[in-house]
Amino acid sequence: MTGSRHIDEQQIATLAAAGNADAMKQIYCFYAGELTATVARYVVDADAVRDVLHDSFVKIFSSIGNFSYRGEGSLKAWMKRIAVNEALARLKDENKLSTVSIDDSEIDIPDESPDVEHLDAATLMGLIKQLPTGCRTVLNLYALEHRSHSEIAALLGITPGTSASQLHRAKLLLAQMIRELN
Amino acid sequence: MNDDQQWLKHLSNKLNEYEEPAPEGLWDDIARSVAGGSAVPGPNTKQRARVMPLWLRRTCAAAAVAAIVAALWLVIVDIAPISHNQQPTETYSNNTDNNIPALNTADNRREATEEMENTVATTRIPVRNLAVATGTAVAASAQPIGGTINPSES
Repeated sequence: MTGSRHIDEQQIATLAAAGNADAMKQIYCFYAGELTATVARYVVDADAVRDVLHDSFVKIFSSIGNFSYRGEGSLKAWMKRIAVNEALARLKDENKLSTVSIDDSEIDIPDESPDVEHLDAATLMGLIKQLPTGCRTVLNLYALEHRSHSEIAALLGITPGTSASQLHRAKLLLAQMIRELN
Repeated sequence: MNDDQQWLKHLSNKLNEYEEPAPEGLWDDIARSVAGGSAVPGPNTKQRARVMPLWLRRTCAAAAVAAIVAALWLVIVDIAPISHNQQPTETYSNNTDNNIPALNTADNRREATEEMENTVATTRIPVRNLAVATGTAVAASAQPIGGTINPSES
């Protein structure tokens, strides 16, 4: 669903910060799909996704005056960060991150990398949603938010070693699920 | 790039700009919240209940039971003397059928008077005994009542 649309982030952010409702709606229409997919990678339940998106956009529009433009894509990155933080807060509220620290390094799955290259994005997204919350969260933060294990550890209140083992677990489970698809 | 990094790169490339349709009516909710001027919780947000700890609930339940038991006990204890005190009233009410109250009869008045005199008599200290017991000096001091009493005269 990637489009070739373009938006002047700096201008639209300035207008939204001034309270321009049209600018806010434009930002919403432009980024809602991407933010929905981002949140849905962390929070699987549809009602929870809606809540997190709502709170994220309200936070975005109420604090957009604090946003400082740093080049093309910085508004999207800023908005995604807010949405990811809201999703993590939701998971913490629901105590779903407590499973992250479980030591499951002894799962009996062959150690191989998942063949994601030949999957379409929607199928891959569906498989990621099926992963256990702990390793799914670590995979999202590591692979898609490009956080280090130390940063993930600090965010989730776990050790960097646990973060690494959860990523390994995600890799094995994903590889197994892809094998079962074929 | 090793195999471990390769699959992560593929995953990132595929999902980085992936989009899903936003929930229906979401913008209307957001617009309402923004127009309201504050970051109010979403319509489906589960409000955090004020959770009373289990131990507190149990304590409250035990206290409530104890209070009920104590209240019942007080009521029972309070009722018992009342029914006991009510007996004379019932007796009196039985006497309202023109039965003459006991103290109003002449015989009973006499009996009561005699009983009173007997009581006074038994409680009066015999002067002679008192003199014997306490000696002359004391007997002399008792003279106004029983006259001069000399222990040697008795």
